[in-house]
Amino acid sequence: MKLAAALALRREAEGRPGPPRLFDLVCGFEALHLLTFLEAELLSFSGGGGCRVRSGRFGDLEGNIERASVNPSESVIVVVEWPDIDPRLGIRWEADWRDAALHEIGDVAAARFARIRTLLTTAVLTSRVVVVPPGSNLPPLFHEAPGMLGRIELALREAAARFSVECGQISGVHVIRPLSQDTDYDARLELSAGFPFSITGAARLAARIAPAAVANPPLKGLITDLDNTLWRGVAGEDGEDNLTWEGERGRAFGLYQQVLNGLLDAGFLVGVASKNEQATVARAFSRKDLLVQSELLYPLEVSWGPKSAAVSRILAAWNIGPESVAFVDDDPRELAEVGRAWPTLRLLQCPGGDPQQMLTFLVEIRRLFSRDRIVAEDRLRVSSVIAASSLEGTAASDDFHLEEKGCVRAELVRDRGDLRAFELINKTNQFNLNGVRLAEANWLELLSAYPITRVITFDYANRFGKLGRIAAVVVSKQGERHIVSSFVLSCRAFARRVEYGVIAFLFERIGCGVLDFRFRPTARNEPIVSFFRGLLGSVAAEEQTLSLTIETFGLRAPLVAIQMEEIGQWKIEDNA
Amino acid sequence: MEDRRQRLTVCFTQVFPNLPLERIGEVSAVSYADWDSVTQLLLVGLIEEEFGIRLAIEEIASLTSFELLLDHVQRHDER
Repeated sequence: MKLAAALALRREAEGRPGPPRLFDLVCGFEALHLLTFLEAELLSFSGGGGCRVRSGRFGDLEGNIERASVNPSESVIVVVEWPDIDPRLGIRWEADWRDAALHEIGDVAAARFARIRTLLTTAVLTSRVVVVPPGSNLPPLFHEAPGMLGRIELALREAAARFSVECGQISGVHVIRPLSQDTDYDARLELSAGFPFSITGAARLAARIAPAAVANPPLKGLITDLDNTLWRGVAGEDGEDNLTWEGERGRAFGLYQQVLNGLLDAGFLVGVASKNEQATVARAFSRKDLLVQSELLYPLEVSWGPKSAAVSRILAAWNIGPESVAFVDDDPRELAEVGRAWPTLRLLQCPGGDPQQMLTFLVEIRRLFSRDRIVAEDRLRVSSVIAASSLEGTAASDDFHLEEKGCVRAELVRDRGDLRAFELINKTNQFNLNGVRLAEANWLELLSAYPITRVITFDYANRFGKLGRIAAVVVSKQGERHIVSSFVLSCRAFARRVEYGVIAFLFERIGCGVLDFRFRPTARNEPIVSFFRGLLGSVAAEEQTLSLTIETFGLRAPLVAIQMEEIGQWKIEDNA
Repeated sequence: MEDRRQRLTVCFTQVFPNLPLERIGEVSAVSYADWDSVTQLLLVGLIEEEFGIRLAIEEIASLTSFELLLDHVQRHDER
């Protein structure tokens, strides 16, 4: 991004309605262009609202971290530069660069890094934290020839690396790759303004920081073409034995298959839309040397019909919206046809056999499907979606429900690093009480309101397998009322009566007669409206509190034969 | 000359959106309170980006009026 574009973006956003999202840029240098670029980059994640980035005092990195912890924002972005670790490691101040004066600098740096890390453990209690460790811009203070790593420099880099590793181990702290090119820095701006980066370096760093500073959900599914995308060659013309993903001409396709395996392992859905004969594809998929786990590709839409129609069927099978899905094809005409029908789908052109272009393309895929961490539920998602497809249309009857032998386990959430619970609450799916999304700071606030407010997740298993944690509820005691402010159920758990089981569980364990649900209609939450209509009769599509009594629930809920278990103490206690 | 003046004016409108267009040609750090060390650096960044030039450290501090900056850009292009 150019500086002019960043300034224009910021100005355009000044008139946006509502309070801006607030971030802290914590550094020891003048924030200057980095602040401009950060605000501009963060605006692309702000969902139409504004963004404001606060900066601290020049030369006081540690004090700035402490102040940001006292007055928290959505994210604290900490950019550490070498002069923050020791002024001798900068060019701004006079320093003794003789070897004898520098021999202990590795130890000094390690101690300073440890202090900063300790401060971050406090900051992370109230905000999401993003850390950029020092980059490559050490001044010429070493005796070794340029390009050599001498004893002192190695000690400094070891201290910085250990700092990065230890920060990455703190739940809620996200470590960013520092800048590494000479052109990222500008000694002229450093001396004239106390700002170490060049304009291009600042732009590059801001672009790296912004996605980490906001808890933005990744895409959920990828639909891939086969010929000259998953493999080199055209199955129907070349024959399945001549398709390749190896060797200098085919290896790029092998890399694509490896990345798809990584996505499947992380719980992302991968489906196929291919213009082919089904028998041809079946023969190709029977090859033992295929790298991608073809049994996990679901669904396989193989036909000669338009790909936009295939995409339509895949989205229906996954039960997710096009805005959460990427479509990959090597043919620009197919991309255009699909794009016309599905304008919010992310379209990606597979670059073919050029390995360098393929690597760039795969980095983009990793960016779109990035996760901070993979949790157990992610690994269950793909297999549970495939298993659910074989049960479609059978789950509605009482008999089937009884045969399922479902078991729900409720768990009280206390750990701020419980990513699955946070992710569930922030799901924008159809069974969502109000679509309210929480920033990390709101999430921490919720957890700290325990025991008045409790976050509870529910996992589900039946005789066909496990779905993992598929529902979350936030319930608070306010006077004599019990307010449910979040109620979200993964679409994988639809039609298993888990939603009824959750409510029955709340009534029983809380021991209350009424639950007040803070309902708000969204563009997608019609299924939860239908659910409440089934229990309460007419429900207007407007923001309101829906009060459900235990008697009404008993009369109108269907048979719920789900075994219920609980982990931890979560009975709602009195305010007092 | 006119093209450079216009491009420089655009840089000024980006940094000083409240400054009336007719005043830009005569503005300086002395005559306009919003022109401080931070806006000076923003201005320098935009001008370097727009004209593909790099100001020396002493020029960053001394080119503090529209006319001085225009003159500098002009001389740079003639070199």
